[in-house]
Amino acid sequence: MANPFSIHKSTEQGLTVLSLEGYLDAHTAPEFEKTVQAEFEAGRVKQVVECSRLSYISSAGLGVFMSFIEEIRAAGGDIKICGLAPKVFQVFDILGFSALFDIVPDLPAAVQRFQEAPVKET
Amino acid sequence: MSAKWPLWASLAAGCMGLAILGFSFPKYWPAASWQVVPRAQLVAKAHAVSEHFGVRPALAKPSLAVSLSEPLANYTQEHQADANAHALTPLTVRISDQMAEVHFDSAGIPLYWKASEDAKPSKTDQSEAFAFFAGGQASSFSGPVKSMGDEASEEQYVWKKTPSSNSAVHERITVETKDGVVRKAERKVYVYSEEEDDDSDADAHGYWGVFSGIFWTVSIAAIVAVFSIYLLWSMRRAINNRFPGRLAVASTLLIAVALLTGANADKTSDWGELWAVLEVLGFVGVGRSISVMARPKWFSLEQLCFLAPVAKTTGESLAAGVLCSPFLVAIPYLIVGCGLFPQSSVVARNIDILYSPIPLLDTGNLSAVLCLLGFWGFGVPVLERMIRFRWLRWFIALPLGTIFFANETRAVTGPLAAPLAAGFLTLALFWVLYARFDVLAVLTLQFAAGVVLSICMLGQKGLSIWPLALALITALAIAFWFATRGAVISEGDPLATNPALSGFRAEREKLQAEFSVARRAQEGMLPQSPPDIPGYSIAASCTPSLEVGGDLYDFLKLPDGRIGIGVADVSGKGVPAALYMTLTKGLLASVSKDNSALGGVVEEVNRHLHGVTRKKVFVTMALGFLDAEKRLLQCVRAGHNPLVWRQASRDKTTLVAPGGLGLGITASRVFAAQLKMAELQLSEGDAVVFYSDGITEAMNSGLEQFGEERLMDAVEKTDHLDAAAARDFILSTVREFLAGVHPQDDMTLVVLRVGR
Repeated sequence: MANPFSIHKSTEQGLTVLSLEGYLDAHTAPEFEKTVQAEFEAGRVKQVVECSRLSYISSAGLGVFMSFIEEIRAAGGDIKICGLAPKVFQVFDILGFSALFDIVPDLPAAVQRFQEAPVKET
Repeated sequence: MSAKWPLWASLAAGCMGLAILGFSFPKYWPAASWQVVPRAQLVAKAHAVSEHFGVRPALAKPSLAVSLSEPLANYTQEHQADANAHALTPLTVRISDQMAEVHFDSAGIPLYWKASEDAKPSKTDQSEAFAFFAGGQASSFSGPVKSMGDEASEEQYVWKKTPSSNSAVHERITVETKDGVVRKAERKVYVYSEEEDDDSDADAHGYWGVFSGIFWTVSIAAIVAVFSIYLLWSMRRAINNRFPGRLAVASTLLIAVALLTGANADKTSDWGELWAVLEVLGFVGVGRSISVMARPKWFSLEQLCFLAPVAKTTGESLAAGVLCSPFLVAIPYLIVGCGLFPQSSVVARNIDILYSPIPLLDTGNLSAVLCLLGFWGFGVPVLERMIRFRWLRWFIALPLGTIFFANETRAVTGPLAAPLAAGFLTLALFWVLYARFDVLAVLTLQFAAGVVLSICMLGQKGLSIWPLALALITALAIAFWFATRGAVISEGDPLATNPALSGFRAEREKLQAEFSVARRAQEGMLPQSPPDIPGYSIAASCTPSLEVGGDLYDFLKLPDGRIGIGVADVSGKGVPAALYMTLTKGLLASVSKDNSALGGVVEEVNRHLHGVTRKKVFVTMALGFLDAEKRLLQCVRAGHNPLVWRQASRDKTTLVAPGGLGLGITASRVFAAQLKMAELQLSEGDAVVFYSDGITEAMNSGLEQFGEERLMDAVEKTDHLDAAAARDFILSTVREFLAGVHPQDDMTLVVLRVGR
């Protein structure tokens, strides 16, 4: 059950970039949740979640995205998701996340998206 | 393997041992004919002897030591007819305090008296001292021969008794004076070429006064403690070839304690213990360095050491060890008494038990236990690991083990064949116990045999055996209690190796009982049978991955007469998911009671769910409303997996995936805006399959997912089957794909078939 999962944190032009790697499931979701929460509480509300090395996401993992998005947007920030592998994207898409989140191909696109639309228009 | 028959066999071996002992012990035990004077009487005699020479000893708590002259013991064994040899037994009891030291033979005949430096003896006549020690036999001695001591004031007088033609037993009485006062007198018996002042006493053990007794106890406790820590580290794999430093520290500590206790053992420097410790360290070192540990064989010992919940196996091992012990004691007597080895005899060992103040404490033989631990705990597993061929293992283990045990036990003397035979039988007995049980059984056998032998010796001398017998019976009773009432725990069970979890077991069982109640309740919540729709067949199945799950399916009777078919999946799993599953089910039922609009029902459910769920919980749902007459299925997909639509007549399989967000994510207009509807015009033979992601994401051991492709393939193969058979076929295809891997997620499947 101990699937590997790790989060790498970096900054890109003032944006917080969280790079996910491995399996984001019920066991590893709390770690991700804690990281996002810490960033949010530190006032860093413009976040890019970079998923090019994310191999799997379960519903518990998707729940983390949902749990913060309203607060973050209320604070004038957003979560942009980038680098999804086709299989992982499919999971986001089935749930309808493409309607709720800005999902872009890669990090530069995410940075650009923040300039165009700091908060996704819904 | 049932442990029943090995236990019966152990009992049989034990009874056989008792029979052999009953017949042979008094006959072949070398010390059988020796007289034994009780400890208290000997101390009183020591007072008398010392006072005879004018020294009043303090002797409140004198120290008492026992030693055995092996050459003399062997001689008396081999020359039963020599009365000279039997005149004095080879057992010497030494009593000493600050003022004087007195020795006796086991029958209480004084052999030695010496005043300490501080004492002021009064006798001046060396001939009187000689006569006192010679008893009534003064005439058979010749002498004295007088010589000067180291100092001018010291003189030594020696009387000798030469052996008769048919004996090799010599006797000598020595009296030493200083300033004309007798300070030391000794009567010594020896055989053959024994050197003049040879001190070849062997097998000596001491009993001291109160303080040295305390020291002795503390030393033994220290050895046991250090050894236990060492064992613990070993078992926890803290000591291995990656930590040579720790191994070195542990070994040094162990050797230091062994040396300390050995050096303090007064006249007895028992290097045997140290040697045994080194032997074990050797075995351990080899064992650790190639990382072998026959874990199952150590299991019950580990259980006992860590005071973990006592397992059935622990009790069985203890019982087997105790039951077999009389046979181990009987082996030397069997060898000597069987007639195959006429020159052989039993060696008198552990004879000091006869003078021990607390015999129970003296039955154990630490060095033997250490050796056994080394041989069976480490040596044998190493051999099993290193040598693949069974026959080669036997080829090596048999002679090595025979020699090892012949040397270790040293219970039989005589032609080489006799001790080897005893060694072989001992090896065989231990082997059976090791193979059928484990290391604990082996150690128990050794301990119990010590007690049984002590009982035999004490009993033969008419001394009290009840404390030992009681200890043995108690041990057996405890063993059987464990064996019958102990927990069935096996190696690898986390409850077994983690004592902290022991109280957890009952708790876990209780929780499991409650969970199965919850599971039944949840199962009861799902429709007992699919609705009966003329012209259709429907079948459903829901299998939670854990006890309770977050998947559900339901069938609804809508106000407009249509039939609702829904499959939903709550995010996460286990108890939280199960709670939201029941909530979703209730919402769906109540909302659809007076609302036949598919979009309206889903939006209403979403609104309620968003109101009550914590933000990160959401529910995905596929819901279809079927107009049976028109064969029209209207469906939505709220973040759920697409439906599989099999159009049999057109041999076409498609995924139906109208847009839609998961329920409970957002209550805003986004949800309504995203929610799309699909309408399927069904025809004869068509199938629509609703499922949860537990089916498509079922992962096999190759980390490969079942996927939509395989699901669609499976559905295609069910054209000729009704819904129930189709469902069974699809599920068995998934199980085949998983090939024994337990599903990580709840799996739900609903099949709707038109016709049949």
